[in-house]
Amino acid sequence: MMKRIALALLLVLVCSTLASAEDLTADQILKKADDVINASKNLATHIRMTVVDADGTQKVREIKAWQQDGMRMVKFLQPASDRGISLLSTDSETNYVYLPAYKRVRRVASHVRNQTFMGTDFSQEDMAVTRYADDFTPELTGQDDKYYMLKLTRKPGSKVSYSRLDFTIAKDHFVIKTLVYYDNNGNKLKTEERSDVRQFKGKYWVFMNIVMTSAKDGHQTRMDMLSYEYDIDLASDFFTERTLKRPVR
Amino acid sequence: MRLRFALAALLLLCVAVVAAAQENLEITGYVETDNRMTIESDRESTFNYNENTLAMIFKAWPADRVTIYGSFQLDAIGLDERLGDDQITIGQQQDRAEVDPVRLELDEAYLEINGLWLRNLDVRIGKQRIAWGTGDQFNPTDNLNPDDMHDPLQFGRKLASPAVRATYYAGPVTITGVVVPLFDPVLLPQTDIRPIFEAMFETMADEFAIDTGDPALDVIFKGMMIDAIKGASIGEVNVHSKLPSRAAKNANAGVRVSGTVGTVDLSASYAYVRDDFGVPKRITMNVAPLSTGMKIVDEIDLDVEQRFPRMQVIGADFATQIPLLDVGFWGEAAYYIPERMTTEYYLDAGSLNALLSTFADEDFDQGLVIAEDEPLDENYIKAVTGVDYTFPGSWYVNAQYIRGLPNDNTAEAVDNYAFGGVDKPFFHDTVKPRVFSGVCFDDESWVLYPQVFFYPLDSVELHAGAFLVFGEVDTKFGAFGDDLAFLRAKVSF
Repeated sequence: MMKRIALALLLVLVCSTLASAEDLTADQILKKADDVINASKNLATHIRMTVVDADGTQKVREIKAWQQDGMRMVKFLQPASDRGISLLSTDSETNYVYLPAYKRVRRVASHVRNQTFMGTDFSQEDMAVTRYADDFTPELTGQDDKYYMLKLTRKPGSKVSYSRLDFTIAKDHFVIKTLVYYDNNGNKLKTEERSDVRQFKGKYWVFMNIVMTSAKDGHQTRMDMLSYEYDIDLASDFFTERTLKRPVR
Repeated sequence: MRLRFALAALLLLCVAVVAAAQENLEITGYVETDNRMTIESDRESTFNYNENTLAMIFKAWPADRVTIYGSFQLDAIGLDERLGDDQITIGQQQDRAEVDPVRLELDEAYLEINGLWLRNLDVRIGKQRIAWGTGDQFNPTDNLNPDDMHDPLQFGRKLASPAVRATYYAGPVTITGVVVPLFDPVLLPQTDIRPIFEAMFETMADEFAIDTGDPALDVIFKGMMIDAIKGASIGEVNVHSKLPSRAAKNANAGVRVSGTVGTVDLSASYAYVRDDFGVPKRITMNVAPLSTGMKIVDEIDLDVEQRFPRMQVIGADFATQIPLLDVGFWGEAAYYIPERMTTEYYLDAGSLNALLSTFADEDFDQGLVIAEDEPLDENYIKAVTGVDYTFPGSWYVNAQYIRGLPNDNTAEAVDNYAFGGVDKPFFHDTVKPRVFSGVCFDDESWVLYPQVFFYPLDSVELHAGAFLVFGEVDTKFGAFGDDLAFLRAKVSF
């Protein structure tokens, strides 16, 4: 008897959980996904990107990136020819690049978001996004036991390059598992698939691998997250030109 | 000398090997070969430049807030250094330094301490590049390092200087102070300098006059020499410059304040420096009169004594993006206040000096001034403004208007230019063609610089292209010399 009651209670609990999940609106789902991305005070990552050319040649890029409150610092480690190049973004329209060969910090306008990131299938813009709800209006297009499917349409006035994004978001932790990018004409540009989702410090959900595949030619870039550091002690002037110019160690 | 290079290289290599095991040391660098040939229409193209470089960069962090930086390169220099010499002696052939010349260059070597005395104060001491300004490649406010004009393909580059630099980060404002104790002149290209002085001679020829104090004599000697030298050709040109003394008062110094107002980065600067190109102080025309015939002057040798005059440079720059369009927009201007200096054109007529002295009351044994010019009698402005944008498909476009290139060092010499370029990567940044062009509006000379970069593997760069010059030899771009084709290969490690 007790067993039956327990099972009944469990069933009620599961059903109520599912019902509450099903009740989430597209905006709420996207907000939760954005919150997962921005869960920590700040974040430092060490990333390896492997580009596979059509002839099978592999090119490896390695960066260290720090982000906090919408600000972002990136320092290039590999290849050797790019080592020391650093990028600083303090908001969507204020970007700087430090080129060691020229010993000069140059301000770069936000048109650089159209450029590829180090010859990978990622653009500068892909690497900088922290909150999708700022630029897109979501629409819930479907769901199954594990995932929500969202269609994101660019908001009027937004400067992002993509007219539409299709998301698959995991129901259990709200990590975005797949992203499909579309150009201004509605043509599919590329697909980003994230895997090996893990939890850090018992509260931060992350993915360890990403594969970005170009719809045009099947060209791929694999991104491996070599390390994550959360809630680190960054100096108050970390996201400044002073740090930008310092050699990476 | 070669032994010194070898020992220096060996020492650095030993340091590198020993230190490589250290966690707080990083060694990077590259190997590059650079080959060029002139482009001639009549199958007369010549290989005129070959340089093979091993460059190494050391960074070390011996303490928490201390960085040591050093970069040097060993250059095996080929054809470039042998221009104009088709003879080699047996003795030279027995000397490896002559047959296989190698050059060691120390690019930068400095120590930087972050948070010295004050948390927000960084101090850098040693040979260093001090890059000021927001212009792309052309920076009129950037005057603390000497210009490096050695290579036309790297026009606008500067050499590092021994200096002390202090940078204080006061919140949104950054204040930089620099002292460069020792003056270094420009590094010049290996092109023929004669056209510059021929043009100067022609410009001034109408001003030539003799003033002995006796009008009758002036008429006689004007007919004998002045009119004659106007039609003479220029023979040898010997240019030498007097360096400022090592006195502390001759140090260069500058201060720059930068910050952001709204969405615009702004800076203001002041530099108390020297013109590193030099300005002629005295141009002596050595005339060897012919003893017979109507034409008494056949050829004139010029002896040019230059000075590096002081100048004050008040500068300002900005960088931002044009709202809504996302177009990069920058500008930089500098007001140059040069030390006033007179250029004297001296006539040294050899044996006629004594004759002249005999008839006149003055002693003209060393020659006499026949003209004066004041090339630095006016202050002048140099400026740059430019825009850039990346169109969809990664088409990058950059355009700049420039008033005054680095070597435009008098008010009269400052010309107006436009530079522009476009590049577009293909095959996921494996191939990147670029076309770059510049024009001088004042003399209508221009350059075209088509290039292609190829990155077949990580850290491998192949770079081929041409540097095409359009203009007479006495124009701004025509002075670069022959059209060039080049091929470079570079591997970084």
